[in-house]
Amino acid sequence: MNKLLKQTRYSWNHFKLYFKRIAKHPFFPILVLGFFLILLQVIGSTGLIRPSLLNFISPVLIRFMVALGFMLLLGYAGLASLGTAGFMGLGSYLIGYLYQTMGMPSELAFLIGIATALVLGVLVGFISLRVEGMYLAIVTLGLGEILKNFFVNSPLTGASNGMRLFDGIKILGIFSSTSQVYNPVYYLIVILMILSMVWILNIINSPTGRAMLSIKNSTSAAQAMGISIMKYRLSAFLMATLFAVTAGMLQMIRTTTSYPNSWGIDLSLNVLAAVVIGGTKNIWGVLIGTFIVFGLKDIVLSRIPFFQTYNNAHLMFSGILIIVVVMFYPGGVVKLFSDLLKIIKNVSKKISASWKEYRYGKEL
Amino acid sequence: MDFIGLVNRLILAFADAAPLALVTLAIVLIFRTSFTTNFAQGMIATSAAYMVTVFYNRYLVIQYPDFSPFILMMVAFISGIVVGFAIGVFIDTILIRKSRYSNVLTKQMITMGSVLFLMGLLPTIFFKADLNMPSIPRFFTKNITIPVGDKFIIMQENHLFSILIATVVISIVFVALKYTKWGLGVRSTASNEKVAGMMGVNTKMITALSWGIAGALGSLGGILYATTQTVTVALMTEMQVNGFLAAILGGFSTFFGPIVGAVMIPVMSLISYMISPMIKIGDSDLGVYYKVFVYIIILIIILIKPIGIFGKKIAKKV
Repeated sequence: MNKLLKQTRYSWNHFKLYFKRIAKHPFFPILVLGFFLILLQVIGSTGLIRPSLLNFISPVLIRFMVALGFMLLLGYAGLASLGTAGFMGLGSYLIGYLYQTMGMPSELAFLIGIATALVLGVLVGFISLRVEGMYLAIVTLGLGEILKNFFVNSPLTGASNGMRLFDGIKILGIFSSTSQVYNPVYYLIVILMILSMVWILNIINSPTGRAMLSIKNSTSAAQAMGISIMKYRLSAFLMATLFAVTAGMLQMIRTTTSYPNSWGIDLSLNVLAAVVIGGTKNIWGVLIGTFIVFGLKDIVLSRIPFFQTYNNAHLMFSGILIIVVVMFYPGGVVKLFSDLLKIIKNVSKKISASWKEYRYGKEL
Repeated sequence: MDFIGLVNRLILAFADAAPLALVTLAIVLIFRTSFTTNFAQGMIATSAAYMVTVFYNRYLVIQYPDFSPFILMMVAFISGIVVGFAIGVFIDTILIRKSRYSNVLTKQMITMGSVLFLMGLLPTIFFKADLNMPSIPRFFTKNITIPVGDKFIIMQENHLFSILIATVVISIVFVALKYTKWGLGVRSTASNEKVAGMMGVNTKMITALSWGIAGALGSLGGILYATTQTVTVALMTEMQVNGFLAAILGGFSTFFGPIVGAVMIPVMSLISYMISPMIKIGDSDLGVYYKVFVYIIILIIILIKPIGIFGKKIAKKV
């Protein structure tokens, strides 16, 4: 009996140690987040949580994926792009067109979308080699405008009426349409989100991420150290476009509708705001930023009467936030936590020192 | 299309170019003094257009029905331009100058934040007015028709008016750049801010004034453009993008290059408008994509010559 107890205690300790080691792994919080999000939806589908409280999550997650790609571009490679919304729109229209009009299987359409994203990424990457700095933001703005002009005028995209998948869409055995209260595509989105977070985290902590950072700090110095600017700029743009186009396709699968007006400059600026507000070098910061910019409006601001009457006022909110963060707190909201932790540590140190002084008298 | 039709179209293209040239000049002015691209230029102009519309239609006409509409319109115009000036100065002196860390990217970010802020603010302030927003009144509403043979050259007085105003204002700005103290300050700040400061140029004042003047120029462009459009938040988005592209096309390093670029874009779009319906794929022609072609051509030109058509290459020490 005693032996058994000892053994269980031993294995419990062993488990505790093991758990500690796992918990330190950088992927652990990502998996916890994914588990939590899936749990939320499972509970929701039993009817315990109202659907209106959960429906805002998947658009936020889709935009979070875009913001992750953009973070790599802005925070690591130091390139600002304003074509994000256009790329997202391209993805959403592409999968809609291939699935509905051409009658392709949705999985094949998804793969074609990814291939298009890669081609587009290489194209924009080469532009970024030619046009530098401030000009790049303008050129990508022009690219976004080309794409939006195409969406508004082309008969292929349904012009200003937008595109709608009338019979829903089926991908990997999951069926999605607008009439569903709980859309099972949510699980697909969560899984893809986890994969992309892991991927981005790996890139950031690899030589690729460090090379990108060095290019951001000084192009000439990086070149002198033998870092190929072409390679890393291309890969940064490839990632960013890939994420944007994939997210656009997911958006189409999730909502089964797409309108040209939703792919305007304000979406690109909002993605930028999400990355800047959260913190340009941290995936958790980007998550917080995305939630502030895209999620807060649905879950908090929609309860405040002022924002109910003026449905554009939430843009004002993110505008002010982006200005304040850029002006006074370039690290972003995520730095707030570490700074607060530092302050708390300092204060507790001081308190314990003064308590010791009071208890044992002054050190001589 | 015959010759007379072409002339009519050209006049329309130049009428489009007038506000575009003003916006482009504003963008270049800010670029030369602050070394940043002002993404808020379009929204500043839109604010001015909102101001003029609401101030004239909802206040002045109702409060002072006895005055002649011409005077009231002048008052509304000037108020809009003052609003543009004030927003420009505000962004420079309060937001950019007071920010703790300031480099090219943060300045750009601040202007992008201002865009979002104004985008939310305008419909909120002018909420009731937005429901059925009338357009800005025109000074001149008649058409001038000149008979040539059996056809007519038709010119709207309003278009001629905006071309005239834009030409006069741009000329004044160019003369001011050449001969006034402010112009000297702008040119010296543009060439080297630090040295200009050492030589006794009050660079902060020059920059703030340039932002204000750029805001006012952009507002004038926005108001002129809004006489032919309905006022919405997205009024100037396309104009803004075109302004940037015109500035790059002409080259940011000179003042006249961007103006040429601004005139080129509507003319190019006219040419594309005439040519693109002739290209046929299957049953449908490519006429609907004529703007897409213009942008693609501009992008190709920029890729071939990134410093712009009239740009000068500036050697930089590392």
